[in-house]
Amino acid sequence: MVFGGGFMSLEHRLNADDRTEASEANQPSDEALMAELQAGRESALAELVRRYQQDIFRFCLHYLKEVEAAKELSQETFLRVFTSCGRFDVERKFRPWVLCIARNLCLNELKRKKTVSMETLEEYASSARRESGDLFRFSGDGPDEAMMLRERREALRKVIDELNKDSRELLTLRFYERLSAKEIAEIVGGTEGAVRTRLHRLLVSMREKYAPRRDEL
Amino acid sequence: MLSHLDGGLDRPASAALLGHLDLCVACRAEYKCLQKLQGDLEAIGAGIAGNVPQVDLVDTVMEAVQRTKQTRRVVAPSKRPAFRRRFAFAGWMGLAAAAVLVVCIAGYHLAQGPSGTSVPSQAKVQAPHKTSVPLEQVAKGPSGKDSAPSKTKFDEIKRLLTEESSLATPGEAMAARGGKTPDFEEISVAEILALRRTAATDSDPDAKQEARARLSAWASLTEDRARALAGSPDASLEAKVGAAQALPASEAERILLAAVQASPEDPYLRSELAKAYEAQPDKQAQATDQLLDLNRLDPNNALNQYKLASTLMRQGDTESATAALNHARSLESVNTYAFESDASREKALEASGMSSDAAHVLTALTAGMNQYVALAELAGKLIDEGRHAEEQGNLSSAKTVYESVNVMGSQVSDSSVLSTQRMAGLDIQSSAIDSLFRLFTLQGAADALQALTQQVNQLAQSYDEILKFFEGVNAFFSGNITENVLRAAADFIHQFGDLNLLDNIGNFSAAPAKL
Repeated sequence: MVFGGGFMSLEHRLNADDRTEASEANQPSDEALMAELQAGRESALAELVRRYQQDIFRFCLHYLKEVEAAKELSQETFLRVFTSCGRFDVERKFRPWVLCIARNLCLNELKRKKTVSMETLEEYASSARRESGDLFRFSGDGPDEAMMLRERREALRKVIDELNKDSRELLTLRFYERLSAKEIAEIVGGTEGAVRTRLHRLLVSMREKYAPRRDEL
Repeated sequence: MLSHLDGGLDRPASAALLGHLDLCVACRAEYKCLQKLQGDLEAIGAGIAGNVPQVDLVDTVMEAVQRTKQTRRVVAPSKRPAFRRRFAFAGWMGLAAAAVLVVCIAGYHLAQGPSGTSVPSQAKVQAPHKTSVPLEQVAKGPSGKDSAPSKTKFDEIKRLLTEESSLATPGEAMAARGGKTPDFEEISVAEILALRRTAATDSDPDAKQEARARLSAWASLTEDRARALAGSPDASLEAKVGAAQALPASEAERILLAAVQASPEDPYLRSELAKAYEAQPDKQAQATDQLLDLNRLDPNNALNQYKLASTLMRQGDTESATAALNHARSLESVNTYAFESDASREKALEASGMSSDAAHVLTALTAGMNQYVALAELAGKLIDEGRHAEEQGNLSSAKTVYESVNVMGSQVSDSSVLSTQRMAGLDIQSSAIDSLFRLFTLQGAADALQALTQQVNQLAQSYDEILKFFEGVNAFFSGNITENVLRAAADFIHQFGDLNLLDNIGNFSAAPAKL
């Protein structure tokens, strides 16, 4: 009864792994493509761009907020993949490696611009809402349920806005980009255990400020 | 609960938790709350993702790749263009060798002074400034006006230094010319002196270069000779250690391991063994162990910390490597173990049949050459790591590495008593500052670039001073140099280094007692 739809639900895990599973079944894996790129076959890079362009762009957008800047940094990320392909260890996973490149480029760009390094969720959500009419989709919910959800998530956004930039980044990587603790550790540096600890502390602190109404539980 | 939600609990622990939640109302409520929190966060993320515009970057990226490839072909024909350009290995080595040879000629005049003890005074060549270096806009000082020495002068000095000798590495130059190293038994001090004179005074640049190449080749064992010596039951362990310098790392390792076992507290031997391990990709852990032991034996030697940092970086231990770099920067001195290395090489030449007289002079004339190579390689590896971090977009790490290399160059220069080491320090700084210049430009760090501008001018001064030093020694070279003067100079160099020679001319005896 209580174990339905947590973040690390089966659905999520399938989403996280579907690229790997698909590649194992029909297509070369990301790492195999990198090996091809190392051997000089540039078509492998084109395939990697196709696979990851949306992920990288969205990832950069989290940091930069500006669409054009995120596009430029995404392109630069793939260019770095090309110029640094010789250093990639094909025994390791491609995804955290490329996200690490993207993250570093974004942080550098933000530092160069002397802007805040992580946008607030509210800012981004507001701009997204302006574009789409409504940020959240509540299909299947009745009007009351939708209202409760809306209120709860608005409250949650306020909690998120109060977080420091490191916590917001962790939140973004874990829940928006759906990266595992191990992948996050590879991207930001540190150990998987340290990331789990930080994540748990973060959720506990948020839990204290975020309390669904009892009738919602 | 969070671990369970995160998928981090194993099956028995999960079952236990679920059992408890079935019984405990408070925990069940807490669990549901956390579950909703995660669900809401996921929903917010999905909402954002659903509103992100679609992009198609394939064509743009592939076009950028083509442009990059074209640029690389034009600008960077080698893998490490900047570094190689700056270090110009062969040229610098030749220059360094030439510098030592030039210094030895000064011995002629040294011998003209009153007799006395060979106590060195401060090196006439001033130690380079702590701060260092680079380029383009560097020609202009803080005021925007040209400052002296300018970037142009800096480049000119480096060009002169590089052109001073275009020696290849020992053996390479000889092989390229079809030359052959004579039997060691045939090499005499008189021949060495004649060759050195040719190298300094011949009007034909090719003849000068040929003479310098020949001297370099004589001063080193060929691989075959080194291997024969290593297998000789009659050779001393010290001679075998000298032979190891000319052997592939895997062969050198065996000799050095035996030497370390015989003298476990000798830092030079540990250093050589670490180098042999480091050159073998599958023995990085052993290299680290040796370097840790070396740091215990010689804790104030910054060079060992830099070596350790380089090894740790290649093993991916960035945190420890950074700590080693920071520690290295806090130390003041660098010891390359050049005297110990040259002493071993001298023993190896002797054990291979060269007269002790000739071996002594030859190793003095080429003192520190191997250390120059080792220092340049170490700096190159560190800069490569910095470049790697830069390519990954980690400019902070890259900056740390480049700045550390810059400091390392200063430490090497400041600790030097050999012109080879001084040259290595200056060139290391130059290379590091090139990297910092590129990095700061990328970051748009105007203040940092301004500071670098000042460093460039100071480095140019240091290059200018070493050039004048070489010129000063060369001024003695047109005279007649006796064999005894050369021997006296060799003694001095082996004891105190060559940078102090000019200031100690008056302390040299015209006919040293031992001669």
